[in-house]
Amino acid sequence: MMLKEIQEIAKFRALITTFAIIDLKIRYRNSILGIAWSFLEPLSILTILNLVFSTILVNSIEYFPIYLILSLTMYNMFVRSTSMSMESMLSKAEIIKSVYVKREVFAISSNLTAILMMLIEFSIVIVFVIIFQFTPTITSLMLPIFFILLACFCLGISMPLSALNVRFRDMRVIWTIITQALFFLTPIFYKIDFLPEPVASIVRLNPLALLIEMAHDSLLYDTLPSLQDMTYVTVSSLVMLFLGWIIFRKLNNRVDELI
Amino acid sequence: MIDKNNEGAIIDIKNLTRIFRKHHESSEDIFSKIKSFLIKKGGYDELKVLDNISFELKKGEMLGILGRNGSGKTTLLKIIGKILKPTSGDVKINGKVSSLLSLGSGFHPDLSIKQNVILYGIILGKTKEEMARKLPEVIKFAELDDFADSKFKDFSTGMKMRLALSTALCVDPDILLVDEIIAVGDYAFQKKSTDEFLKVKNSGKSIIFVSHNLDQVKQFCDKVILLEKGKIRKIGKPDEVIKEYISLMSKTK
Repeated sequence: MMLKEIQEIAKFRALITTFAIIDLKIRYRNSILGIAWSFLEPLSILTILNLVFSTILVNSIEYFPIYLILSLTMYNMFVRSTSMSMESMLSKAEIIKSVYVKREVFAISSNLTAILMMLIEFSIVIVFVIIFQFTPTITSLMLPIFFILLACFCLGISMPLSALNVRFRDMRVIWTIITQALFFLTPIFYKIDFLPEPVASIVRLNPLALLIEMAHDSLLYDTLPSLQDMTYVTVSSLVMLFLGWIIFRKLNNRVDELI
Repeated sequence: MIDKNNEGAIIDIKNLTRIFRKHHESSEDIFSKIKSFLIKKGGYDELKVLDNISFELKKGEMLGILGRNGSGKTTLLKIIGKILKPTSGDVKINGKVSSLLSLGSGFHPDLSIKQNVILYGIILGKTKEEMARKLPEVIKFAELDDFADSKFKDFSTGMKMRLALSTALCVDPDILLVDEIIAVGDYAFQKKSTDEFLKVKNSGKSIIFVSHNLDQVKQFCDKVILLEKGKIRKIGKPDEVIKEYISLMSKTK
């Protein structure tokens, strides 16, 4: 049953990639700098945050710019994938109303757009690694695995959001608040260890936070995640993906008359 | 050619019912939602848009759907096209469906015509390569050769519709759903699309279309359904059903 559904979604893979690329292209339509913005935007934000967190609020994190850009790459992936997915069904309402398309397609293609943007941003991480003459160790080979788990987690949240927003437009406001809160509740400019207990333990429950911390450790500090942490993020991301899909399918039943 | 009599039905619909919830406008905010939740009244009425519809269509047959506005014609098309789900009943479709239901749906205003044709073809289930191959043909049929690189938003309504029609035809569907839009374009284009419909029909494909143009219905259809308040009032040969339709329309108002 589930397998059949996945096959049905796979039939739309050409459409998923096409939507993803179009969304990426039109993101910067009518702008003079065009695709260059995908580098300039994170770089500018990075400069501001770096200024704030390393000169005004002094901190003791080594290679702070690399630390920060890696956090931002992953945090942005989460924010972009979820918020773009949330609008994905509404913005393509005309298609939903007139052609048969499996509705998972919209969230998946938005996630693909976010993944492409994450890869573009990750190239900045590589540039920074070179500029700061930092030598990554073998543990940094774990990064692709973390990114894949992150993508699963994001998709699991994106799917129900895409359907929920059709029904309750309040979602976009609520989601802006939640992502803003998450900016401070994930180790973007600090380490989880800096936090007092029990706050640190609670923050670690969030797979996004834990994944970002694990990525820092593996790229910058030659540290592999503990088996316990690795199991936790793997299971929670996959459960989120599965659960998100189930919830989506329930919500989706009423989308056609609401959109 | 395979003998038509041995072919199974391409569409087989049994006891199809579709219910819409008609929400009261005042119940959109959170307080009335909570209130209607508490007193177990949903803030909506149920509307049977399609009520116990059964019919079948053989391969190569052309079906016309008649009925007044709001009688459920478009909903029926959308259910055949898998765009809407039936509330209950059994819908069997054997074949690929291409739909042409509303103007410019699936087209992106900021993309060029070429990109749009490819996008719409992919939405209708073709691959990028196939569409790239068919592109010149589609644009030629739509008579838009000179505008291939213009943006879609700069086009007139007729041009948009021509493009939609020629794209929907090029994906080579087993069943083509058309909603009241054959009358697009100028006279020359209308004639051309009429010819094209007949060509599709002669190649053994099915077309289902909703139209208020009775001449067209008479000319094309093998079978006509007259819908009234979600029920099939009459189904059969075009002449009889059109007669019934006319008498129905003259009885009320």
